[in-house]
This record gives sequence, structure tokens and C-alpha cells, in this order.
Amino acid sequence: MLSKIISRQDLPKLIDALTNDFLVIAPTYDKKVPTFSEVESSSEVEFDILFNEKLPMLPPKKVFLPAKQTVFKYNLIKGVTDSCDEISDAVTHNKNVVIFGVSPCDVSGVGVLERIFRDNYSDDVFLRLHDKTTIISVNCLDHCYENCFCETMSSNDPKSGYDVMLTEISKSKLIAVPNSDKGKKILRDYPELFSQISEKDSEAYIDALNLKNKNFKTEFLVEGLASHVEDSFESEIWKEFTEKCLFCGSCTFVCPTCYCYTVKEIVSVDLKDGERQREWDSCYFPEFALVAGDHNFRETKEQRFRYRYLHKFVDLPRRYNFEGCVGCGRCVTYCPANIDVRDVLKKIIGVM
Amino acid sequence: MASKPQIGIVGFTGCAGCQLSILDLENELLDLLGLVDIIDFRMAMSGNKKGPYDILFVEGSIVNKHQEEELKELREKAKVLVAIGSCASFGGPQAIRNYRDNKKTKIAQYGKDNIDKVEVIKVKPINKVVKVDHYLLECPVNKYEFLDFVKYYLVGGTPTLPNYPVCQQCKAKGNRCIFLEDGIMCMGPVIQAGCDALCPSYGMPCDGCRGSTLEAAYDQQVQLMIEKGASVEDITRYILKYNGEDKQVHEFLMEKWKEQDKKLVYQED
Ligand code: SF4
Ligand code: SF4
Ligand code: SF4
Ligand code: SF4
Repeated sequence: MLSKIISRQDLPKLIDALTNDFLVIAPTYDKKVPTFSEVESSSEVEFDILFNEKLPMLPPKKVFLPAKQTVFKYNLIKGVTDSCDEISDAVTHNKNVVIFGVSPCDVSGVGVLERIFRDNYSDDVFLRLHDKTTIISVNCLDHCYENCFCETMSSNDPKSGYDVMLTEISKSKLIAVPNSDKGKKILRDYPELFSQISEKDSEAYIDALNLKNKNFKTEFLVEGLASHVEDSFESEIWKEFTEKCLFCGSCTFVCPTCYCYTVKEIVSVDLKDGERQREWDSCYFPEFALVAGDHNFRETKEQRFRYRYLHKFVDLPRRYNFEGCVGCGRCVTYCPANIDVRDVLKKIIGVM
Repeated sequence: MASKPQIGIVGFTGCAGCQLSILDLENELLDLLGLVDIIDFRMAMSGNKKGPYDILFVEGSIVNKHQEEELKELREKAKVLVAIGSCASFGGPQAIRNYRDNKKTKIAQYGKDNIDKVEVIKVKPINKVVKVDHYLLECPVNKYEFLDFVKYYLVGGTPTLPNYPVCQQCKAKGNRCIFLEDGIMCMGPVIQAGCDALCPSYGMPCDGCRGSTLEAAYDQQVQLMIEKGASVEDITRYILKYNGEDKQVHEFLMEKWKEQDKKLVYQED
């Protein structure tokens, strides 16, 4: 069997072992906010966040596509001085990265981003960071909180995109299922922390998966959603929500699958050196669809509000066969105006 | 290389904090002096020349006829005129008086017997007096935006300011949303970003010192503040704190909020 058992009390030891070999990113609290951050020892990790069912506010996209990021640097005479690859290597101090404690929905979210950043053109900074990262996921056996609707979005059982999945099979034990060469290597490299699976463990694993299957419920049907949304292009529903929305963009920043950014040049005071930076942008902002000649493709707030749904629930499924939403509920949790993506969709489908 | 651009930095009614902020560019000031000649900066040096300026940075709002004349003269000597800080851009805190009974304010300020002796006009941001080419925001002005402006000018362009709300930078920093989670009256959703969400990063509400963001959602913002328990008076104070002469603030107050806050009286010129 490739899968192994790790005891819950050895998880800190695993983190400490990993910190010797990797740059480790794990759930922590930063000024009362659950978040993913770089840790130097297991004492900084909040296992609480993992096992008491909280999602870090910013999803793992913050590792691959941080809020602000230098993509390359240049000099007036020398041209490009730091390439995309060199920049991404410097960010991780030339180390490989482990993200520990990624939830299944967030694994799916990273998968959405990866496909988009690899597909039409390859985004070197994103992919370099992504490809040097090992993702250790911690499985959910039930909805983690009231805003989670991952089952509806079919995101809680990703088939790929993670390297090891840890599933609790009892209060004290987890099964570690590797899902890639990188994952197998983790189990191989720290043999003292992983033990063989017994028959009882295998049974407990099946039980856990059955429990998971039983606990998760769909809230509404996603079948046919794209055409519902498209058919509602002129609906009054958009207006109703536009009237509540602050257009603060918070929902897009906390979303694991929102990836839009804007680009700017930062020039040194002597005007000889510069760097290109990218920074999170949001389709909820007025200048997002502004192009040369002062034309704005989405001049009204209503168009902007609607566009986020069109992109996530029509364009992406038609192009890639997945929705741009993994049902993590972050946009619901962090919307200052209490707008709930589920309400919008249910109204569109006509079940609310 | 052509001769260095001639720069002036002058102040009208304000706290002089913007000028101080520029002086505070300790690490960059010497490099800056290699690129431009500062010919007029009364706060920092002597031997000032009254133009001509390639760029003139103006701090403060205009509160009397004398200042109006002086600003108009300065404008004629400046190729590019830049408003710096809240007062020059939106009137600043003193513009609150524009929404109060002028006579009562005068009595409170100068005493009953003196109100005819002091000449105070409505508080004006400088664009109500002269043409302004560019705005640099914050209270006091963001010194890095000032520096950026000079750099862009030298390479032949103007920087664009971020046209999105403070919430962008607040989320980027991973801050707790004190508006949503703690019910603190944060104006971040309607205020222009650029300060790196300075106040919320320290648990303080955004007071709005950078002015309204593009298409600011004041209706929705105020609705949420009411739900969180703010009184009508409080809301007027929050909105008016820095931005009395910001176009969006003015329109919201006089077209919508006046129905709630009957005490709002706007003095026309
Ligand atoms: S977080 Fe809420 S208020 Fe802000 S833009 Fe998103 S839906 Fe609108
Ligand atoms: S749209 Fe909302 S629920 Fe869906 S993935 Fe994004 S943040 Fe999560
Ligand atoms: S604390 Fe203020 S600025 Fe920050 S996200 Fe909340 S409302 Fe926006
Ligand atoms: S958070 Fe608001 S009040 Fe504070 S510096 Fe920024 S714009 Fe000004």
C-alpha cells in the first residue's frame, strides 16, 4: 500500500521535519484573522483552524498569485535583470514549498487557477511557484461552516491538484493518501512519522468516506446553471443585488478562483531601473473594463455585478468544463453588505 | 540634458502637514534634488523665487479673497499645477463649515462683535479657483505618490492613482474587516485606496482622507452604517470629515442625505 498512517500527535513533528527541507506555509492567525502564512516551526501552526473548521480568509492563491507581485525587473542599459523564474525562486529563497492544511475545496480552487494560467498561454511566475509546491490537503468529512456549499459545486472530492490527502479515520489517526510523485516522496522521506496501514485502518477509512458522503448535501442544482444565468441576462435580479452592493471588491479578493490583476511599472528615482508589478484587480471596479479611447465595456454597476456571475457560471464552464466557484463561501463570509452568492444563484434558477 | 525642472511647493489654509510629509522623504530627498531644482519651498528654505515653475504643488484650501488672488497669480506662473492633500483637493476638515450656518460659525469663531471685521469666504478646494492638472491625495499627502508624480513628469507622463476602494488594500494585507466583524464605522468601501489601508491595518476605521473612490456607493454605505447603529449626526460627521467639497460627497449630502439630516445647510457663494 502506498497510503500510510500518521498519528494526529505527530502532525507537529511532520511540520517541523518539513521546515528543514521546505518553505512551509500553513494555517495561522494573524491579528485574529485565520490565514495561510510561512511558518518556521509547528508551534506557529493553528491546528485549530484545520480541525475546528475555519477557512483561512485568503485562499492558497495568495501563494501563487499574491496581492502584489513583482514579475520581472529591468534596467535601462542591461535590459531584463531578473527574469520571472529568478523572481519566483527568490520569493521562496530557492526552496521548494509545502502548503499544509489545504481544504479540498481550495485544492479545487488551485486547480481552476492552474488550468487557466497554463492553458492559453503559460504564466511563468505563477507556474514556477505552483510547480515547486507540494500541497498537503486535510480532508473535510462534513460542511466546515454554514457558508460552505462545496458539495453543490462538486469541489470537495478533487481527483488531482493535491499531493497528499490526510483524512481523519479516528480522533488520533489520519490516513495519508499520496496522489503524485511529490506526495509519495513526502511519505518516503519521513519514514519515522508514517506507519503501515492495518486492515482495521482501511475499514475506518472506508467508513470515513461513507460518513463524508452522507454528511454533504447539495443546496441547489448546478445542472443547467450556465443557461439559466445566460437566460437571465436582462433579469431584474441583478438590479436587486446591485442596489445592495458596495462594489468594494472584497468578494473577488477572498475568492480562490478570482484571478484578475492589473499591471504597473515601478521606476527608481534615478529613472534607470524598474520593475513590472501586478496587483489584484476586480471586475467590480469601474475602470476594470476601461480600454483605450475611453471606452468602457461595462459602464454600469449592474453590468459589473452581473459580469462576475457570467464569468464564473457561463464562460468558465463552457471553456473549461468547470465553474469558477468551488463553494467555499468566503465571498459570503466577508461581504460587508451580506450578499450571498447562493441567494443570487437560487433566484436565477427560480428556487428562491 | 535640458535644465532641471523648476519646482515650487506652497501652502494655503491647512496644517502644513503635506509640506512636512515631503520633507520627510529623508532617503529620497537627495536623489530628488539631483533631478529637480526646488526654487520655492518657504517651509524648508530661504531665498525662494516666485516662479516661473514647471510644477507647482499647492497645499491647503482657499478661505479668503486675498488667497484667491494669490493663487490665481501663482497659476499663471506654473506650467503644471498639482493639488496636494485633502484640503487642496476636497476642502479638508475646514470645509465642514460650508454645511453650517455661516453667521453662527463666525460668532463661535470670532465673537459677536468681530464678525464683520474678518472676511471669510466659503472654504474652497483650489480647483474652485484655478485649473488643477493633477491631484495627490491623503492627509497629509502620500509622500511616495508625490515622488512618483515627479518621476513620471520626468519621463513624460502622469501616474494614475488607484481608482478603487481602500478595501482592496485591506484585503490584500489580510486585515480583519472591522466594519463587518466589529461594527466599527469604517468608510473604506467608498474611499479611494492608495494609503495601503493605513488606518484599518491598525484597527482604526478609515476616515476618508483620500476622498471618494470612483462611483462611490454612499447610499449602500450609509444604509449599512444605519444598520450598525450610527446616528444621523454621526453619519454626517463621518462623511464630512475631510471631503465637504468632494463632488460625490456634496451630491450625496444635498440630494439624498439632507432628507435625513435637516441641519445641513449649504452656503452658496
Ligand atoms: S464583497 Fe459584497 S459589497 Fe463588496 S463587492 Fe462583493 S458583493 Fe459587493
Ligand atoms: S465565488 Fe464565493 S463561494 Fe465561490 S469560490 Fe469564490 S469565494 Fe468561494
Ligand atoms: S476594514 Fe474597512 S477598508 Fe478594510 S475591508 Fe473592511 S470596510 Fe474595507
Ligand atoms: S485608511 Fe482612510 S483615513 Fe486612513 S489614511 Fe487611508 S484613506 Fe486616509
